[in-house]
Amino acid sequence: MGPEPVTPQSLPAIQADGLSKVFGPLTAVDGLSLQVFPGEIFGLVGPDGAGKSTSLRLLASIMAPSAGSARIAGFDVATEAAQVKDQLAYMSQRFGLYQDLTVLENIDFYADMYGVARRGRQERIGELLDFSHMRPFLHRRAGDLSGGMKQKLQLVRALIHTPKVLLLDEPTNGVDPVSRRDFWRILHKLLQAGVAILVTTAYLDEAERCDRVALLDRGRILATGSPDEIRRLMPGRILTIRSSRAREVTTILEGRTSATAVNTFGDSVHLVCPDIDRATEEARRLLELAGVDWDHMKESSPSLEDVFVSVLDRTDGSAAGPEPTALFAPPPAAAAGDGSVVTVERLTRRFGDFVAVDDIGFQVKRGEIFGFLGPNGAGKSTTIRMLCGLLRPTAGTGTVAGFDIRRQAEEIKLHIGYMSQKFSLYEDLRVEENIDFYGGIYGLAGDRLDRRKSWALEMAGLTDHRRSLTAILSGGWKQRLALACAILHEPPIIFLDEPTSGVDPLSRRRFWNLISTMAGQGITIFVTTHYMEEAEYCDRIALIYGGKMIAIGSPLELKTRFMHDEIIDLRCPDPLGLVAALRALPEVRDASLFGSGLHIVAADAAAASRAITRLLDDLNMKDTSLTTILPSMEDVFISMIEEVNRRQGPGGQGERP
Amino acid sequence: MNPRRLAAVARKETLHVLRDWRSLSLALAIPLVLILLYGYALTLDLRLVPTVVWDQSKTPASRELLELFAGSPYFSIRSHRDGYTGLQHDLDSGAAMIALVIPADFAARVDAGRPVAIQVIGDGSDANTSRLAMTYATTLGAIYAGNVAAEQKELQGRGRLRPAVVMEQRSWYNPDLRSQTVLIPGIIALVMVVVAAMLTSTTIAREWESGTMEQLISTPLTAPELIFGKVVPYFAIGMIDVALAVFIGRWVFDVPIVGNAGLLFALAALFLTGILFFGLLLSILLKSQVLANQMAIITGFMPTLLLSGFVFAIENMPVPLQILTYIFPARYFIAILRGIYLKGIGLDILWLDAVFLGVYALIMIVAANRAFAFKLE
Repeated sequence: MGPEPVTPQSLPAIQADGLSKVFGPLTAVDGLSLQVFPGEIFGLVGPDGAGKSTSLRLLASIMAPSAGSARIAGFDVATEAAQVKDQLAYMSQRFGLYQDLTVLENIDFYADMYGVARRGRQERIGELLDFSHMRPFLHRRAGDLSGGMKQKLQLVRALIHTPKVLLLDEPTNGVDPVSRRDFWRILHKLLQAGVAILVTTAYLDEAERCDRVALLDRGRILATGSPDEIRRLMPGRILTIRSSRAREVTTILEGRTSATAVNTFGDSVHLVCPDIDRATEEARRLLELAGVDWDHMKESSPSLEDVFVSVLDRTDGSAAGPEPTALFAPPPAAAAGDGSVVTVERLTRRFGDFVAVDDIGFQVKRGEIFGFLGPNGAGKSTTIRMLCGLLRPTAGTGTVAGFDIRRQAEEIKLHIGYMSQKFSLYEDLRVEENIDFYGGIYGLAGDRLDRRKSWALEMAGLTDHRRSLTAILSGGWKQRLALACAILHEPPIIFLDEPTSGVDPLSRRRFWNLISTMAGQGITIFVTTHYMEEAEYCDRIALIYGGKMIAIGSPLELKTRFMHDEIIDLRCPDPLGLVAALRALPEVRDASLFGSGLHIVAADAAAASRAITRLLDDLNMKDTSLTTILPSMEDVFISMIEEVNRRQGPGGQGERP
Repeated sequence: MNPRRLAAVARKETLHVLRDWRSLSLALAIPLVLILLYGYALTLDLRLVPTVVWDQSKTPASRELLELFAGSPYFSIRSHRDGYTGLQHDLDSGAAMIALVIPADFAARVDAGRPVAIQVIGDGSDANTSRLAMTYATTLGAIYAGNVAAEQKELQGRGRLRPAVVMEQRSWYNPDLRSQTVLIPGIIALVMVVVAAMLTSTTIAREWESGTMEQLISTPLTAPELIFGKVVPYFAIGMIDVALAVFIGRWVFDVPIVGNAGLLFALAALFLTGILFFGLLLSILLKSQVLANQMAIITGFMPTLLLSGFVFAIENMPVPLQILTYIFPARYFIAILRGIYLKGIGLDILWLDAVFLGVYALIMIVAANRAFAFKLE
C-alpha cells in the first residue's frame, strides 16, 4: 500500500528511517520508518506507552535517536537541527505555553523565537486568530482559557512562522467535541497550504479523519495505510445484535459461538467472527433457546477501534492485563419503589454569579450504567461531588442509595465507591500498600481485608506485581487498581469520574467489559466522561452542556429521536476541494473531512442528497457514493449544542469572551 | 546568539516576574526585613547592662564608685540587695546580668590606702556580653582607683599624679566602634546572595516542571539565549535591592559610603552576576523548583553569614575553614564593601578581590551553559 501524496512528484516532508530510541532496558521506539508528504495528514495511533510521544520528539529533534535517521523538509534531524527547527512546529502533549501570559504575549514570544518580522506580524496574527475564532480572547491569560481554547492557542502559536511540517502530540486530548471539530477543521485547511501533519492520537475516531494512519505498539509499526485499508486488516467481521437486554445477550453468547470476541455497547452487542453467517446462525439459536428478544442482527462495518483492539489482542494478550474473573455481590442498595437508587430533582449549584449546575433532574435505576456526558467545564464534576456529599447544593434535592445528599453525606460515603480521573493512587507506594491504605480508610480489617485484597489484586490482574511500585504501572493497570481500591468496601453504587482518560483502547475496552459485568450483578454505575465514544457503553446518557441537561436517553434514542440533523457520508475523489462548494449549498448545514471522505450535516438528508448529487453532476465528478449514516455520539452532541447556541443567539462556542 | 530571541526571553521573563506579585514582593521585602532585622538585632555593642548591687559599705566612698557605674552608658543599676540570696535571684531570673558586691570595710580600706577587692559576678550563660561587661567593670574600677590615688596625692600635697604610661585609643574608619557601621556592608552582601540565588534557582526548573521547556527546545532558541535572557530581569531586581540596602544603610542606620559609590555598584553588579548564574546552575542541575530554592538558600545564606568575615573574623578561624572561605565569593565582596564603605579605598587596593569576583562570575556563566543540555533525555 503505497502512500497517496497530494502531489506525487513531491519529496516527503517527513521521512524516518529505522528510527530507534532506547532508555536503559526499554526500547521505546524500535526501527520506526515512515514518510509523510506535503498536504498529507498522517495519524500515529497506539496505546499508552507505545512510543508515540518519543517518536514525535525524535522527529522534532528535541531528543537524540539511539539509531536510525530522520529528515524534516529535507534536513537531517541530528546534524541540521537548526534548519529543522525553522521548518517545523511541534506541539507537545502538555500545555507548552505560559499560563500567566496573555494570548497575545504568548504568540508574540514565539513569533520572536522564530524571528518573524515585526512588520506584517500583526496581520499574520490577526489571520490566525480569525482562522481559529480566538480574536475575542487576545488579552486573556492563557491559564484562564478552557481546554479547547488552550489547544487552539497552541496551534496558533505553532503556525506563527508558517511551518512546512506540523508535529502534534495528542492535540485534542480532553478537549470538548465542538473545539475538537474546530481544531480538525483548522488542520484540514492547513493541508491546502501544503503542510505535512503528523498527529498522534488515542481517539480512534479521530484517526479516521487522517489520510493515512500507522498502528504503533511497543515501538513498532504494526500496519500503515488509509483508514479503509487498515479496516480490511480486521481478521473477522462484525455482527451487531441490538437488544434491550444487551447484557444478557452477551452473557448467553460469551464463549459459546465461533466469535472470537463479544463486546457490549449499551444496547448493542458486537461479535467479532471469522464467518458471519455461521455466527448469525449460532447467535439466533442460542438467543431463541434462552428466550431473549432482539431488535435486529446484522453485519456492521468495523470501526478503527475494533481493528485496533483485535490487532493488539493478537500481538499481545497481556498488554492490558487478563480478563477480570472474580467479582463481588454487594448488598442491594436501598432502591425506591420504582427501582431507582439515585434520584435528583431541580439540582442547582452556584459559585458566586456562575451557575455550574443549573436545574438538573434525573433518576438512575439499580444495575444501570448511567453516563453523564459533556465537555470539560460543563458541570459534570460539580454534580458528582454533590451526589457524593462533598459539596452542598445551592438548590434542589437528591437521594443516593436512599440517603439525602444534603443531610446524610457520611452515610452516602459508606455506600458508594468513588474513582476520580486522577486515579488517586500513591505512586511511591507499592500496589498492595495502596490497597492496604484504602482498606484501612474503609475500615476493613482481618479476614475481610485479606479476602478483599486478594480479590482486588486478582481483579486488577496485579497478583504477580503486588510488590511493584505503583509509579511504574501503565495507565491501564493503574486504572484497574484505582477501581479496585475504590470498591474494596463493596459499595452498591460506583461513581466514576472520567475513568478512562489516559488509558489505551484495549485497556479501555476491558475496563468497560468489567463495568458491564458489574452492572449485570446489580451494581449501579454512574460515570462521567467527555469521551463521546465511551457513551456508547452506557445504558442511558444525560448530555450536559453549560450546566444544563440538554438531553437524556439511551444511545440509540439520542441518535434517532433527539438528533434532528442527519448525517450523509460522501465518498469522492478530492474531498478537500469540495468542502467550500458543499458548505455553500443552502440544504447543507455543515461539511467536514472525514478520513478519505466527507461527513455532511443536513436538516433533511433527502433534500440535501438531491442537491449534492446535482452539484457533483455539475462538476462532472465520477466515482462518488452518498449514504445516510447513523450519526455518532459526537455528531449528536455537536448538533444539540449548536441547537442550544442557535436558540441563545450568536456568541456560542461554550466560551464567554 | 540572536539578540532578538534573547530580548524576547528577557521580556517574557519580566512579565512572569511582574505577574507573580508574591515572588516580586518577596524579592523586595526580604532585603528590607534582613537589613532591619540584622541592623537592629545583630548589634555587638554593650549598652545599659542591667546591674544589681550589694553595697555593704554604704558610705560616700562606695556611692562614688557606684555613680561611676550609673553614669556610664554601659551599665544600668536596677536594684540594691542585701545578701547573696537577693543577687542570685536577680541573676537567675535574668533581671540582672552583672552583680557588684562592695565589702563592708570598703571606705576604711580606701581611706587607709590599702588594697580593696570588689566582687564582680557575671551571668556566664551569655558569655559574650558578660565578658564584655566584666571588662568594662574592671576598667571603671581602674578609673576609680586612679581617681582615689590622685586625690590622696593632692591631699598629701605632693602635686598631681602623672601616670607612667597612657594608652590613647583611636579606632580608624569607625571611630565610635559602632557595630552597624561594620554590619551594613555585610548585610548588603547577604541580601544579594539570598535574593539573587533564590530568584534564579526556580526559573529553569519552572520551565521543566510546567512542560514549557519541551516547547522551547522545539524552536530555534539556543541555550545561551535562554540562559542570558532569563538573567536580565533578575539582574535588575538584584540591583534594585542593592540600592535599597544602600539607601536604608544611609538614611536609617546612618552609615554613609566613604568611598566611590559608582565603584561599589559596579562591583556589586559583578558579584550579582556570579550569584545569579550560580542560582541558575542549581536550577539546571536539580530541575526541581523546591529543591533548587532550598539549596540556593542553604549554600548562599549560611556561608555568607558564617564564612565570609561578615560576623566572625576569618583570621580567627581554624586553618581548614579559612581555606574554605576562599570558594565563597561573599568573602571578596564583603572585603570590597568594607573597603569602599569604611575606608574609602579604591581598585588600587581592592583589585585582587575584584579579580576573584570576576573569575567566580565567569566560572558560573560557563558552568551554567555547560550544564544545560537543551534536549530531552
